[in-house]
Amino acid sequence: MNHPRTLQSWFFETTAKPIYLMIGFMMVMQIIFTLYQNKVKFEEVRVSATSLSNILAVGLLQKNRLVIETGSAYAIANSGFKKICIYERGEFRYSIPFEVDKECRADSWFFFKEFDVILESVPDFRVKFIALRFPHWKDSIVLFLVSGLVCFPIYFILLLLVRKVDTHLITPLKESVGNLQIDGPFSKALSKFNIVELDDLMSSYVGKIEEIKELTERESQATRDAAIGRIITQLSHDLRAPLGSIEQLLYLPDDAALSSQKLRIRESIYRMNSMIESLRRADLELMIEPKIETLRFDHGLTGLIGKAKQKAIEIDIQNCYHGVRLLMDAPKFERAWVNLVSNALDAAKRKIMIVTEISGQDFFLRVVDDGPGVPEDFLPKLFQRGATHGKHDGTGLGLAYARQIMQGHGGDVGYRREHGQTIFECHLPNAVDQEKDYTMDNSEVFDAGLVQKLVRTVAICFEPESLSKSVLSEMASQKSDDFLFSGEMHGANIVVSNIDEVMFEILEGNEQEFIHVSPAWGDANGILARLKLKFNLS
Amino acid sequence: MQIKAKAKIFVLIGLGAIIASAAFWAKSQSAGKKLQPNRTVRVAFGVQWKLPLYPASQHSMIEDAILANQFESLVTRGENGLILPQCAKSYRFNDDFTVFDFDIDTSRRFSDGSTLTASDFKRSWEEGLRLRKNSANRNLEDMVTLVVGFEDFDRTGSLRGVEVISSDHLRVTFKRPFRMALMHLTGSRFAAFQHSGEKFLGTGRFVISPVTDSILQLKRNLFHPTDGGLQSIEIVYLEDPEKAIALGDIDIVAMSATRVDETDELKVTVGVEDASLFFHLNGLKGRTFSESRLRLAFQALVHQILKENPDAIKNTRERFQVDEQTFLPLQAGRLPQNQAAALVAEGDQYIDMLIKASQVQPIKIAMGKTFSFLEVALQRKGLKIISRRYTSTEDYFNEFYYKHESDVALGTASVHLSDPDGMYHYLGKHGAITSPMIQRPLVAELFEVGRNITDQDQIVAHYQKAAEAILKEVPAVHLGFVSHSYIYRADRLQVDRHYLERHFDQFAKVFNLK
Repeated sequence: MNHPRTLQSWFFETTAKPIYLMIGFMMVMQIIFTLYQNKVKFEEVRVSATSLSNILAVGLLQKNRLVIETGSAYAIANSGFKKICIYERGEFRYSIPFEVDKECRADSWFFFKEFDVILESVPDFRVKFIALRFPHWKDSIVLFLVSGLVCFPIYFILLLLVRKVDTHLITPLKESVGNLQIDGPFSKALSKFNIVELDDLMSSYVGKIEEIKELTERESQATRDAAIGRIITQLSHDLRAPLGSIEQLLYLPDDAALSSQKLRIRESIYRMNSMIESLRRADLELMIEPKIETLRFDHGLTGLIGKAKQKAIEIDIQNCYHGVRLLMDAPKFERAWVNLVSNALDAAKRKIMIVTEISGQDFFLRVVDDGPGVPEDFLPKLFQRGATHGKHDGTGLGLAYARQIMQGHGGDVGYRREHGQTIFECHLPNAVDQEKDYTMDNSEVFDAGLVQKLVRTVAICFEPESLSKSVLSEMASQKSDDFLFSGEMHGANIVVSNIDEVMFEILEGNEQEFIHVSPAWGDANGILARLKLKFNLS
Repeated sequence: MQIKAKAKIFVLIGLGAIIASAAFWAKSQSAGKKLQPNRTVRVAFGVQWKLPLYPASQHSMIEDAILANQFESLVTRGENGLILPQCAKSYRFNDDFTVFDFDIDTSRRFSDGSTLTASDFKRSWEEGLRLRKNSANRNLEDMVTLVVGFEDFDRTGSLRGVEVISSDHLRVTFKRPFRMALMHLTGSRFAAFQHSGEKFLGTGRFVISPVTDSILQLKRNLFHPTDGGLQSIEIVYLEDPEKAIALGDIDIVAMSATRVDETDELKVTVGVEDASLFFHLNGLKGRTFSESRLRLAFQALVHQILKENPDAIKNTRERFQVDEQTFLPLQAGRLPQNQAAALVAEGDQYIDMLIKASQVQPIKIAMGKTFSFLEVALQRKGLKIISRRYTSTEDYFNEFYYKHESDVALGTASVHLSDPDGMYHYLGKHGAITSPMIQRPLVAELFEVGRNITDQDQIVAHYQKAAEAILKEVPAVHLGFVSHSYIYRADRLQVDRHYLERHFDQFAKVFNLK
């Protein structure tokens, strides 16, 4: 598979590298050519030296200066010799050009080459030739310079073009596409070029952006619809428990008894309202948004107490961590374990135990009953949606929903049998702050009367964290109806709200809301006003 | 992605270099072709000439170089030493080198528009023999004495051996075989000229017009067929031409013997030994050096001093090389080095005699500016001398050719041809630049005979005898050879013939404007 490359990488591979290779190749070829030229030239020089030596031998034999002078002068002018010297019995006799110092020597061994030729017909004489070692060095340097002058500007111009494309087209396109902007930097960049092809590209781009927006909207709506469908199904299942409780009231004998059950009626109605509210916000139902929240058993168990008493089943909470603060999506976690307890009430003979445990940063909640357990053949589809066993009115949603919620927390729900008992275990990973002491009174017993007004807590983490505690406490003293300020907790400045609108606003955003507090916001009143403005509470 | 400033700089440098290279290339291309007709090239000589300038007046290498620009002879020397037709379209000679026929190029014209014919040569040579001589002998004598009928010239006024067969056919008949006849005829002194009052007209590329005694203007001869090249030349005499060219006042220093380190602006042509430096010894009757032993002694003493003072020679900055022998190295007539050294050393035994003689009769030495260390060195050796400096070039020529007041006169002679007969100019009986003070009968006779030898083997043997005679008779003490070159402004001129032979050619054949 071909991985996409960066523009730089593409430029290097397709342009810079070939140019480098071309320059390198040209330089190597020039070196080879220069060496070859030198070799050829020196062959010519040697041939000329041999020919001239024969002429000089004749001149020396005849003592004819005309032959010697014209022959050597012609060779100097035409055969690349820098100097020609004649020695007689080792003593300098003649040179062309005229040599005063009688030392016929090259000015530089690097630039000049010396070689002697013995004249066989006049053995007393020898001729020394001095020739340029690199006769074409100027040509070579010019070639090198021309190569460099041609190749490097081309390279840099291409680099410039690539960078212009990157700066003026690709980067604006990235920004515009990222934000699905039509009149963004990409549009501005294209308008600068004023090129027909680019304008066409922009038109096409605008069309595609509109299309993408529409498709995204559709997909969002479809997701929302699907979630609503699922939740309706789920709520149909969940509503049966409170309705069952209310139904039971119809069979009570007198008003006094009904009066004693008012609390149950009220809680059942509350649960149904809560579920209806979930229905209203169906698209958010499956979103798990862990926050630091308090674990409470009272809310969840309120609706199950009647059923338990009717079936004479004791619900016992072992190692109770009621009131502990965990990182979780509390309402959904409650829904999960309530489903497990509800199932246990159907299967248990005499007793159900709710056992909680903290291990490291993980939190475990086990629902243990003394029922017969799940048959082996049903185990593979135990947590599948629609799978039910042993209940004449089962919908097969409870366990599937519990698993979905726990997996949404990064954990899971497990089933096992131990010592004749059925155990469903919820695992909440990384939910515990280890620095806290979670040792609880094992004897604390569930009290159905502990049902409290629902308070939805929302954490808003301010930036900078250095927002002083005094400012927070000052904000808390405002006793706002919208925000309950609880101060610094877990390294963040926490603001707690009991207003749904605040929660929804935050839930629709990121999992954790960071609000940068500018000094320009002023004091606590100013910050509060800003928060209200942000959450449309003003 | 930000564009790095370095990349931008590289691009700018690259583009700048391309533009600069292109501009440089374009400039060099145009500079090589562009002709600047109004540009006058200024040429300086460090030695002065004598006016008026006409072919037969030539008696120095300077004048030879100047005259070649206006006056053309029958033949000329090509780049490779070959003798090429010039005013003669072609030439022929018989087997014994006595009869030479020349086909004259009658399409050539003098600068007044008149046509060149064969009779112009006969007339010019005859007139040249009648014009005032600038040396001891008439300038053309060294050749025309061998022409048939020369002995009757003073009586008849005509050279019988020079015949005008037709307007375009000239025949020259020599009494005896003349090996170097053609070579001698290449000199501008044998050119055809028209004589009109003070003006001398030639067929050459330029017309020379004296502005002052020290400045000559050379303007184009409009009837000369050659186009292009240099259009206007000014020749000036300067005492320190090397300084002037370094300052950019002139373009060429002609025939400079000064060593110059080449730069981008100043370049030097390549030359060979083209002049000899002599102590001419006055051997006239009654003079100190009429005694041959004293001449030998002086020769030995001078070479002792030269060997003992190599640094002093180097400090002269001359392109000079010490050599006892008059003939060029590797030339016919050149003696083995040890033989020459032995002959010179024969004078050692007479040095005391010379010193004693000088106590009685101090030796008068006339010199120029250079080699003054020799005077001091001679005095240190015990020689009593009376020295004087030449006041001018004219002063030297007067002394050497006519006055003969000095016993020793330092001078330069550019007489070397490739053939040893070149030395005839200086030591031959009818030599153009000889002087009675250096005439030695034995030497003169050997040179007279030598010019008629045509067998190469005989030439070598004969001139070795002449060389021995020179070292024994000592007409002059040969100090060594000088190589002259042209120094030129390479930023203004390009050189077309980098190698220069002894007979320096026309400026327009050597240089061109950039």
